[in-house]
Amino acid sequence: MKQLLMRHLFLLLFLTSIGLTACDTDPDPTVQCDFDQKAMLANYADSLIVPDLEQMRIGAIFLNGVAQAFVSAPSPDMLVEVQVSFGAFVTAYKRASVYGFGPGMINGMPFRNRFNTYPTDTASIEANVTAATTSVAAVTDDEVGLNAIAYLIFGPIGSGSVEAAALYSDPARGQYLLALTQELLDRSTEIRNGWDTYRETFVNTTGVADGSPIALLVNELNLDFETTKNYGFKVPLGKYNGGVILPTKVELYHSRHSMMAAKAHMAALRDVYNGTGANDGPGLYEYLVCLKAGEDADGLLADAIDDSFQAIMDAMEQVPDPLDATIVGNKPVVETAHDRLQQLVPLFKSEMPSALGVRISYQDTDGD
Amino acid sequence: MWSRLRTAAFRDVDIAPLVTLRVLFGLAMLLASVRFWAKGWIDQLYISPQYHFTYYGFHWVKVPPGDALFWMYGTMAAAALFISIGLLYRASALVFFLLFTYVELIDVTTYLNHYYFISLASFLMIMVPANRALSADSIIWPSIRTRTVPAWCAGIFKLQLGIVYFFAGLAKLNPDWLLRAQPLSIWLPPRAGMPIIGWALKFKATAYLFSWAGAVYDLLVPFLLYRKGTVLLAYAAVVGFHVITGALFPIGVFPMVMILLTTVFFPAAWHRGFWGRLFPSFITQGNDMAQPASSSPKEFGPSISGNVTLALLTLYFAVQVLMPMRYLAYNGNLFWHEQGFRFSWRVMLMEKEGSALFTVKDPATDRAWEVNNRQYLTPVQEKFMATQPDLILQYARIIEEQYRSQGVNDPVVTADVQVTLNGRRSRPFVRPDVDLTEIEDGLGERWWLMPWYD
Repeated sequence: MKQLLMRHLFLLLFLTSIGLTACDTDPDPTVQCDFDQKAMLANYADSLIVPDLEQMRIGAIFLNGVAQAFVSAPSPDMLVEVQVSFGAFVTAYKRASVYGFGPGMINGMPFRNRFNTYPTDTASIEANVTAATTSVAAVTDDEVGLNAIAYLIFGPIGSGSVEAAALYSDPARGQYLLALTQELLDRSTEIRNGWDTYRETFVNTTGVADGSPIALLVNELNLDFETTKNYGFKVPLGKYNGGVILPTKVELYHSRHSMMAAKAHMAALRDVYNGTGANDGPGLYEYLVCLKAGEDADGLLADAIDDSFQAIMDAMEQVPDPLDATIVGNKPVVETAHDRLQQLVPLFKSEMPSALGVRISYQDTDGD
Repeated sequence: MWSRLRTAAFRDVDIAPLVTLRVLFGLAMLLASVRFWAKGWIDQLYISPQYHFTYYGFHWVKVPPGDALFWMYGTMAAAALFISIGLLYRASALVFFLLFTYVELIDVTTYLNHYYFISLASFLMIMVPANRALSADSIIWPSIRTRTVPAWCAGIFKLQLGIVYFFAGLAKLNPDWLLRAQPLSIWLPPRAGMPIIGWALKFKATAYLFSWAGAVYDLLVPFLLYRKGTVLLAYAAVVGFHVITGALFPIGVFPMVMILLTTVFFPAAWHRGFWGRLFPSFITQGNDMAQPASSSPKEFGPSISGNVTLALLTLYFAVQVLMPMRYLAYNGNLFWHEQGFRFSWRVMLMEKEGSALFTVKDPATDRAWEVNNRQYLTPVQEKFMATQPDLILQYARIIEEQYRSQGVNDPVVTADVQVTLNGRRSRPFVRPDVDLTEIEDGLGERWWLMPWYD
């Protein structure tokens, strides 16, 4: 024991002398990374988050307005208008779905749970219509939001706009549709307006402690990414189901927007990662470059993540909508997209948070 | 040797430091239990998880049914208060130790070195008559009052604290810590926005300085605390060290506990003076008493019970010294295989993150399932499982049971686990071809992990 102690002490002294010599030969104390967290957060708030949320709000105003016009005088042509504005809203939503923190929480959960839970429960939706439901506050997540609206405006699979519009001879159906679009509008407005006050907190809270803006952003990037990976791809591919495919469980099954949504989502997440919005300001990419994360190993982590996004998007280009039909008819291209999604996980969920000193735990605990 | 040790151990010393220790430990534990409850962690860490990762030999420890866990925390808080005021002291210390340790044993993913320390410290608290002055007990039963106790009573706490620091220091003598200043190079720069010292955190040199200073501090501070001439200097270092680490990292009550408990190293006269200012009669209390009952060397020294006490304490500390050294029995990188990592005061040593994708195969039908970890584990459990080999095995067993109950008779469970350690790019952690359900966890080498390279 004593010998071991002596050996360790000796080792310590020896290493101290090396350390001191090393410092002598290196005249200027190297800055490891001088990164302006506030500038990054301001870039996120001003060129991404607020503009993206504003676009989502405008999209919701438009969707709700067109839906009102349709419900007041249902016609196949007008229904097509609703479907078009729905597609536009989906695109806007996909740019914003990652901001499920701060004002982006509904009842303590990220708003994507309320906006985009799938598969949607068509039987319950029909029951709600039958019951002439007009208030959806107490209705569960799988009977509201985008997937429920997709079902209502595109109709059961196989129906065209004529058949789908014909169902609106029952005014209760229109009322339920409007309750859903109104909820999207109300929530989108609340979230957007919430940032008017939250922005100050967001851009002025530096550090990476649990609950800090950077930690929230990194955690949400992962959670939001996982929704597409797990629910958009793994579930319908049957990964959790012993390999038996479940194509009807794809995202936006009834509107056949699955791949459009997935591609928009990956482009959005990549932009968030890069800090590229209205301006190309500093983002997590620049932060990782500054930290030289992974530099002494197999190349920069910052580039590896961006390359991985590119690989995902390239693979997704090979997967046409409707995704459910492609899963049945050309599963290998979907498998490839899935594998590329999976390959980002260690980089995104382990290495990036690790390099940033952010904990991915989605909750606050002590460490030691 | 033995008789000299015995004489030293049973020398009469002032009880005052032990009183301080009792009061501060009790108050700190009261605060810690209330804080734990208030943060909602009882529910979050123990009640809501579907499964728990258990310790080798303690698989029988379960979450008690109903509200029992809340009652346990309430009792723990009460016991802590009782310890502090010295009411039914030994029973309270025993209750606190048992409840606290039981809760800690429920789930490995909640393991923290400082919780282990609290278990040990409360165990040692049971052993000492810290209630024989300035306590409710000594008011109820005045006959127990004493001015002195055997020296070992405070000595065991000094030794325990010394072991914590010293082994934390030894653990820092590794290439990542000393030569790459990791993980501090990762942890410090993002905190450059903090007040006072923030400006310095962006420099590479600061990470080296903190790493080296931390190692020197841990290795030297027990000795400096022990010497009368340097105790104040050492205590200033203790306060500085823990205030800085407490401000930098999410380590809860640990800095406060260490700052409070290391006062046990202060000279007895300081403790007596401190309590004398609050309770003037304490200065002279006990002077008029006859030789206290059980503390004189004459009575205790040569006796059998003295030898037994000393032998048991020696055994306890031998275990304390051997536990952190057990890693020497294993090849490879300790940070990678973690065989011998816990219970060794390896504090804040690594930045290790992993992502784990488990696959279940049914050899009978050749069907395969990917496992969604969130279906069975909480985010915190998943996070710790993905980097700790024994937990990966336990999780494979959990999955095996699940699939058995769903009709897969002999599920083969494999895992693609990618782990990043101290800023290196992530790499495969578990051998992807190994059926993890076939592996018994134990004290052997973890051959089923991918070999470490650097």
